[in-house]
Amino acid sequence: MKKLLTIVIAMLTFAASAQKVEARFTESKFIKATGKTLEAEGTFKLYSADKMEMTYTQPAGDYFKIDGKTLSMNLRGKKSAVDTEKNATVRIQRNTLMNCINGKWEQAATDNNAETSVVEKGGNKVVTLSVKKAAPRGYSKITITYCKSDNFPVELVFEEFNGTVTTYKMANIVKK
Amino acid sequence: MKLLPKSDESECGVVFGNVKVKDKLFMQMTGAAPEVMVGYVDELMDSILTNDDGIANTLYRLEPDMALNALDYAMMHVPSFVDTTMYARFDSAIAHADETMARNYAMIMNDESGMAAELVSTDPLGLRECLMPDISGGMGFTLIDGHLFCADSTVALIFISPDFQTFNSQEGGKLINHLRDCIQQFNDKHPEVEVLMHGAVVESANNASTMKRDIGITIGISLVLILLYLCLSFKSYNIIWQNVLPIIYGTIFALACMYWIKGGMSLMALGVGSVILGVALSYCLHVIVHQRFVGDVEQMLKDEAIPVCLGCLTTIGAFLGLMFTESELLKDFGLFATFALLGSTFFALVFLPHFLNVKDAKHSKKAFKLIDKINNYPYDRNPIIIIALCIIIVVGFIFSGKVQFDNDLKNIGYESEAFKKSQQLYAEKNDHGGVQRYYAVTSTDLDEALDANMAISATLDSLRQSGELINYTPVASLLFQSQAEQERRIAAWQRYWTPEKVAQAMASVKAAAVKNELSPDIFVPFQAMVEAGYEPGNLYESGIVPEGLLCNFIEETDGRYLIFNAPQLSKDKVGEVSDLVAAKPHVVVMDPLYYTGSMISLIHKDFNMALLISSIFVFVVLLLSFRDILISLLAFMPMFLSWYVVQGWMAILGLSFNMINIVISTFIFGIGVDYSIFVMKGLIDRQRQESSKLLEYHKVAIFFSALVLIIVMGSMLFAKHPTIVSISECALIGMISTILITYTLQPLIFHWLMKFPFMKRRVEK
Repeated sequence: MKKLLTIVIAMLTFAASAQKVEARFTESKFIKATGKTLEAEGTFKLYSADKMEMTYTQPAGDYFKIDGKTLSMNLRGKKSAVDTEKNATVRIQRNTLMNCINGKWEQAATDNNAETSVVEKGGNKVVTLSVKKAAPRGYSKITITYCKSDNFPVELVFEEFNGTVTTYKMANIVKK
Repeated sequence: MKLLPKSDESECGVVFGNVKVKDKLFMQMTGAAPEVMVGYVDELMDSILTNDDGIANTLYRLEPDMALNALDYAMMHVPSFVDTTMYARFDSAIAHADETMARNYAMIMNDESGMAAELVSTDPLGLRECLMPDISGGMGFTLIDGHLFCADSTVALIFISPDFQTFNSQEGGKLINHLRDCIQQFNDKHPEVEVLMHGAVVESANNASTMKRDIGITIGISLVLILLYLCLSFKSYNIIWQNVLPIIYGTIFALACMYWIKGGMSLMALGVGSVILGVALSYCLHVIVHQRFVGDVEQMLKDEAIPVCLGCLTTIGAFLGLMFTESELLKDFGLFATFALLGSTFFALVFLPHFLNVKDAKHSKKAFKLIDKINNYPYDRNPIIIIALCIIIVVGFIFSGKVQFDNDLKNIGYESEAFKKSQQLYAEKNDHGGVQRYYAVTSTDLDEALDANMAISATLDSLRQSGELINYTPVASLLFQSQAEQERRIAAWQRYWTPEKVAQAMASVKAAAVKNELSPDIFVPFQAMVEAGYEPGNLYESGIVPEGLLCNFIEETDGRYLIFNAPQLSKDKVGEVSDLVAAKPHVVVMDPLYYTGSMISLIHKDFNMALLISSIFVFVVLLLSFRDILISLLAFMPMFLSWYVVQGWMAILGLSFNMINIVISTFIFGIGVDYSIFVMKGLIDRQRQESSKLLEYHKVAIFFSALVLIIVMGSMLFAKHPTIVSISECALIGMISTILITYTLQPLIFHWLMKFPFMKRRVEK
């Protein structure tokens, strides 16, 4: 019985860690302060509802990963790993991102105290979350374009209060 | 700390007992470029932490997420970090927005990640510079790739907090050995760098190992030589076990009694107490030597039982005086010595005679001829010796008041060259040419301690501004505030950031942005920050500050909170500043020597009281035994005079008393009284013509006893440990003067007294 349980747990763990979605992404970050736009691209992998990674090919070496409560990143060689239990701002950002990717945008709206609007555009569903009150940190507006057929985001736009706008576009989406 | 008396008045007893900051171990790496040492430190620490037994926490790098978490916490509780005095600087920052914005522009343009833009949009006026004047810099450290370095980046710093107390020498020894092994393996791979370490645990482990080695070598070798000499003198190897067995019995008996009464004892008391076994050896020698002469156990016991018991009783009296002191170590020592003497004397008089061979009276005639020559020399009739001895005693009396008592406990500890080098390097790189002192605010209530800490920080800060301190950053009061103080600060924040002030600041910021070619629309986060509502937080319990760093600021020990302030100050200001700070409520100076100065004086006074009690006890015993006040005074004389000779000649030779060797002086009294009792008993018996040989036999035993002790004590002069050397110096002066007085003045005065018929009658009756 004990052996059987161990096998079941191992199988479930394997299934949970198995890759579900893979895509190419492009990142475009407009910094209003300078008027510059920073471009980046790489591979997006979604393993489960709380595990994803973005591996950059440009700039090479950078990554952004979420694994449960841990958010880790490598930004131009500066590596960090944050326990989101200890960091409220990063926790909200992590939850917002994962909820948006997983189609749980209502939850993301609640977490960010945002108003929502949903429109259909060219066969896709466009969800907009507008944060009601300005805050020192976080997003002011989030726009997610879901592919209507599978509810997977093909474009995510995150606007910050300081005017910085980061746009992610997904392509070559492969589901496993 | 067992050395020091318990203090009911101050909180220092509670604080020093378990406080971890004093036990911190400092490790330093030097000899390579900082970027290289970053990797080396990680490599060394990975190897050390493979076995983290005995390690509570380490601090050598700050994890990258710590900065993010700290920033997040700071953003959520900004007003809590704003002292009301900072608002004047805020006004100045608003007025100088142009200059700050020019710096912001340069920062944003040089950053490719967009992080700088985020920072500027939240804090365009550089208010963070008003709030935190570089805490890491204030602590004297530089961060390189998250790793701690000294200010000039030449030395990488590692702090290790043990999970045991410094005085746990067993655990300390294990940890230090582990660290030394790791450092050795690391140095084999990277010989170009040097790794040094110091701290209380290292010092304690060094002391223990040096003391063990010194005692092992000096006493071990000298005992082997002495036993060989005894074997040759008595032409028998039995003499070895006959001497050693009572001592082993006495030691086991004493340890068992200590366990039974106290459950344990100080290792240092045990180490010092081992010297007392020399006195026990003296009793065994009296029994064995006398047996060898008379060859009759019954006769031997008749002759020796009273003087040995009397000697034992008076020596115990000398040691029991220590029980009246407040020092745990002195009490342990007194109790251990008492039981050890009781046990070994009991064995020597009750068990040992059963094993003595009644027919065994062999001894080397050559050896004994020399001993007889020395013993039978009429010292009391040689005017040169008498005059010389009188001069020695008079000079001793004159200079006795000038002997110094060394209050500095550091001088009785052993510091290796590597240890000193590490200390010097740390002081040179981090203490700005001064010394660092920890002042702790303590309370059972964290908020009360935090409020009291604000007052101390203000005092220290004003001392820094007036130049009394070399350096001081009030890190603890900048980071941690009580709930009430946070509420006050939040209210002050709200009073300051009125809508008018916000409008004024925003206008100033936007104008400066336009002037510096930055978008004026990016400062929404700043406005949101100053207008937001805030609640008090609890940084101490937030888990954001890692334990290794947190314990530098706040420590919770036995339900008591300690908040530390660590200014750097010149050595000559330490006393003055410490007095000033210690006068504040809830403050403890985290420097044992600050309190030990007065505590040691207390022990010194204690000791003088113990000495008086011991002297009275010994004299009463002598009086009861000899039943004559003059004879008792005569027997008491060597003990009395030798104390002044010891004090005076130590002063002349530039030696000083310390906490350890002053205890050994009780041992000198013990021995002095013993010798004088045996000689007095011999003189009385000869006067009564009961036995003309008894004095001779006693003198032979005294000769062997003194020889043993002088060789052992003499060998200790070659030890490395300063405590052992100081014991040896003190004991040798005492022993030699005691023997000289006992062999010369005691018979001289006795024979002079016998010229008076009334005295003769009293002695002979």
